[in-house]
Amino acid sequence: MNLGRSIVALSVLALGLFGCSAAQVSGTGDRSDAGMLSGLTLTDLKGGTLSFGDHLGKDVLIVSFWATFCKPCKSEMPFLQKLHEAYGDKGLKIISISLDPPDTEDQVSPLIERNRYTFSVAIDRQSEATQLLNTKGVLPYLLIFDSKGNLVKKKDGFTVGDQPELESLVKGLLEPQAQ
Amino acid sequence: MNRIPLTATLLSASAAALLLLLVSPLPAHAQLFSAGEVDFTLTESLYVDWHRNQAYDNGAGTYDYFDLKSRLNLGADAPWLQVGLRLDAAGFLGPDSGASADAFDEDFDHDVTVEKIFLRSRLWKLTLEAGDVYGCLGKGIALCIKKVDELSTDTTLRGLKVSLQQPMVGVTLLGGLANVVNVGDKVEEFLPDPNDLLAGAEVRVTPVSSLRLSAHGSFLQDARDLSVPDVPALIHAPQEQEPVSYRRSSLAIVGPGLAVNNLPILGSLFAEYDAMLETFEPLADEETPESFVGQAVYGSITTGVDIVHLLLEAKWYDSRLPESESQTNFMGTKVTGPSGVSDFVYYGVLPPIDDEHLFVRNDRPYDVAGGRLRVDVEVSPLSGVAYASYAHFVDATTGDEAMGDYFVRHGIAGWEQRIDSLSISGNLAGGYRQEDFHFTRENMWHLGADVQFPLIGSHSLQLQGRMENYDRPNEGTEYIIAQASTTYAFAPWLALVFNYEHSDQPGPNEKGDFYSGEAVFRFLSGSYFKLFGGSSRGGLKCAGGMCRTFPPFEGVKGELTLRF
Repeated sequence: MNLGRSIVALSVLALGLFGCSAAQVSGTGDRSDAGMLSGLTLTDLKGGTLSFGDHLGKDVLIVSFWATFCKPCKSEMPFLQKLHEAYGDKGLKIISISLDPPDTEDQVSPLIERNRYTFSVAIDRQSEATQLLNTKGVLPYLLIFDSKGNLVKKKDGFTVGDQPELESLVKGLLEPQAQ
Repeated sequence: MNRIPLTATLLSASAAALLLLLVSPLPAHAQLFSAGEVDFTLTESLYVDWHRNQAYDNGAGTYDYFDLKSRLNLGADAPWLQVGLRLDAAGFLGPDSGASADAFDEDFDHDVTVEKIFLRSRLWKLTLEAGDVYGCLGKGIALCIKKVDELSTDTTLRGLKVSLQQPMVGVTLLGGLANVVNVGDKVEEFLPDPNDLLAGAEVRVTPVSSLRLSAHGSFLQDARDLSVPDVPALIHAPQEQEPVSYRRSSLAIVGPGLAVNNLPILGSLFAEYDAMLETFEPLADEETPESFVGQAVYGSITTGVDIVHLLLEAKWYDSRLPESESQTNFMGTKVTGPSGVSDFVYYGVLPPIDDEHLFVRNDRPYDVAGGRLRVDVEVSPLSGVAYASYAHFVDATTGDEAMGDYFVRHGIAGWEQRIDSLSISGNLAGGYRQEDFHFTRENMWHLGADVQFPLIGSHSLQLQGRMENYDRPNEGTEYIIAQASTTYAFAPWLALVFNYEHSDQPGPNEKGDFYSGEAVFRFLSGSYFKLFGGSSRGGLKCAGGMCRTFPPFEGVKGELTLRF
């Protein structure tokens, strides 16, 4: 509450920003664990277990955060379905994570069924995936991991114009696998 | 309070961040750095708002001021351990002299705080968390602490959480003190942490993959050290409007839950029952403690047969309140800041089951029973979905406290259209809502539409509009609230939004025409700068089942978010 502490905090912030500028470390090399994410399991809409460890470091993995009350999220989902249909058997795995609170989560399953989406969907009831991957709780929020488990893309928001770039990125990541 | 150095520091940090980005050829997918198997991440959001025409509390005039808020998230992630820290800072710059300076000084104060700190580890099938934790039990009626948005609603329990997940058994235990965002975007002033003691437990058993049985319990001990006046409790029938000198001391909720998936005809089924015991302690020595019971029942069925999909929800709330000035029957609390500004904090969620956008709260502080049926029909030749929803609630108060045949009903019909080959999608919906519930009589119809489509290459356009017409016969008022927006995007770099709002709603802040524009510039993977200018109407905005009243805004907002 006092000015001194504010300045200290902001100095930390400034140092942090300087530090990250100085670090400039890019990809994280050959790794397949990606931290605690590999141990994360969620329950899918059918009651089955969805384990990130089964796909991280093996498949090109798209993790998409969304909610039924988020309109841009619903615009993104047909694109995810298109990717799933085109590349699902070529090494792409899509995990769609709903951040719906308990009072709207009953609308998740009907939305998925009436739109005939066939990629994996789970509800992050305990905010575990949010804590690990989406600290700000942004919707929609998309992450793409390459087949070595490296995080190669983070994206807030979605417009239909994003599709060419994202599809191109996914295709590029899948190509080494196909060879 | 010397505001100039603080503001200068904040602005310097913002400018430094921008400068560093301009001169630093950061890779497109940078992480802060890695050491062995440990990744370090950083997310920094800096919000700079210039408020025009802030009204004095006494309505005597207005003044302009700046507020600056910083959200710094630092994280380290290893295969066996995750730690995180969120540091929030807020500063305000306003008038230096005169009555407006006094008003400003009363309302705003700088703040810096460790808003979140957590440590998480996984051992075998156990997940251990310490610090700020989230958790939801059952349907969330008993306890639900979940992030809604980082800037304003991000309550946690500062304590411990242990989760065990086995194929057939799951256990969650958590407990701690309630920790809210102290300076958020809704109240925009300092609110203290309520520090209510909360604890919860849930056991889930899955004997077969399609069946899950659960039992949960939660306990709330109201804090006693808040620097706010005691709020007398209203612990009597609604017609007796005299508060008595009691104050809630605790609230306990227990109940079972049942979830069944993949049934041949019924599809999926969920049911939960919650029993509540609430105790009050007297503020005067001569009184004796009181206790009350309440209950909640919620059930839902989702099913689909070929092209027809159904969602049926039902609820019965007996002595449960969505929010309460006197903090009775309410899984949450009301926090009040030094300036007197206050806000409700929710530790649980009561399913309101209204429109999917929940733009009007349908919970009322009385006993209610009711349900909702939604039907979606796929119209394959047109690649569209027709849908209709009808919700109906009645006053379920019985005995001497029954006051009449009150109801809320809401019908909606709409059409969702997708043309996947052209990446076009749209929605058209309208509805009518009627409420006759104790002190509220309101008829409202609404109509809304949105469409988005690509232009050329990475360019796209989104158009959206909504109109609501309200009629309140017992107040003799009728008014319109309308909103339209156009969004142009050049992916992934730029989005431009133009907003128009119109309102006839009586009230000094709600009435008028409001114009605003927003630009979002993206420059790194997950990083962006957002600039908003103009005016927006305050009022009730509902999302995710929670309705919150946001203040009207006129001025300029800037947000810089950097992710590494």
